[in-house]
Amino acid sequence: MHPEFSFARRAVVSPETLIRAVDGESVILNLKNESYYGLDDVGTAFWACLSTSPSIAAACDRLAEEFEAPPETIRKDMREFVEALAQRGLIDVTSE
Amino acid sequence: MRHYTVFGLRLDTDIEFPDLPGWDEEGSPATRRTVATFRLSPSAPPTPHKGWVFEVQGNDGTSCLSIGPAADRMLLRFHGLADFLVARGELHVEALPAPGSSVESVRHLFLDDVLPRALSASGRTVLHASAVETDRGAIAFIGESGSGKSTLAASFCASGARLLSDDGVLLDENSRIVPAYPIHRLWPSSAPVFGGGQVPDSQTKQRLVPTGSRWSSSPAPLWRLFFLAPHRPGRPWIQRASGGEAMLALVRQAFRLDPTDRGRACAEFRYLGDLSAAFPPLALSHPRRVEDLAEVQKKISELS
Repeated sequence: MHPEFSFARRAVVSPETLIRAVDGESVILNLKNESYYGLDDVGTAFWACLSTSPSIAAACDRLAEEFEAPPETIRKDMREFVEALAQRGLIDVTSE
Repeated sequence: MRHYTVFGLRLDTDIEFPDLPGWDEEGSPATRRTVATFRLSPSAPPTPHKGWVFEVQGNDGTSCLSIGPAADRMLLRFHGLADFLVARGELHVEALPAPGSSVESVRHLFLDDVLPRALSASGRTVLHASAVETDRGAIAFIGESGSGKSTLAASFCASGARLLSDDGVLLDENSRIVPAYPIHRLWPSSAPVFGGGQVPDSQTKQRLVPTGSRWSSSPAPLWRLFFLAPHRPGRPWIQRASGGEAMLALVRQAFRLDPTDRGRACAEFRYLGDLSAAFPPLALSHPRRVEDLAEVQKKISELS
């Protein structure tokens, strides 16, 4: 059961997740179930910020600046992204 | 005991493999020191087995192939055809045909599916692809069954290229393609175009033996990787694939014996990432018509 979503939480890449960047995009391998996923260039940017930020909110702030996009748009997209990754066991969303 | 050459290895076997060149100790390069073995056991009904870790289903939803651990070996069950037991991390294979299966079917399953998976488990990378050697280097065509890999390889060979492999492409650590064995496997609709001696295959493809000059017996440096995509009218036949799409195409077409082997999965993931970075695969989406094959060759030859 994943904890309730909060932008104050931090996303941690699962130790059983491998990611490989190729030409601005990424491929992810989930060793738990031998599943592979692709991320396009935007997904790769989201992943890079999410996996290196102290909180999901901080990742959103960085992306809003990088993409010069409205923060609420980034937050909406980020929430969907985080939930999709967590559902597939690629990240763990931890307490702040 | 008989000795043959396949995937650059020496194969020691207790039955004949008419498709394979004989092993030539004197003329064999030093890279061919690894030995694979194949032993045919008496036909027997398959015993019940639990703990499958991988299944391939046919169009009707029934299992064609199940793979799972069996003591210190991996069991590959081709339902209704044969069981194969592969020593973990090694290239020693025992085949147990199902009642009524022909030795020919067992041989083909071993060469085209079991051995590529065993090679993968022993640390090598084998892709579901065909490959030919041209004057510019090796070209590999990656794709699902029925996507046209064999027809493309045969058309190149009919124009002077040398066959490296029709179905399983083994890459070595130097990004060279190691020749598999000198047989084209073509659907009946493609086979008459290219000629050659014909032997029926267990999967209804026809097996054709290329004449001497069309078979490459030495590893060839990779020049281009193509993955075959559906044709879209109005779009270029050859396009650069995105990085993620290209690597996923390689990942999807890699032979695996034990998908739960995490160490092997990690190593393969790194290798295929490096490969797709060094040789960015191109998407080839030509019309699937024999009359267009010459144009495909021309477009590929025009690549810089």
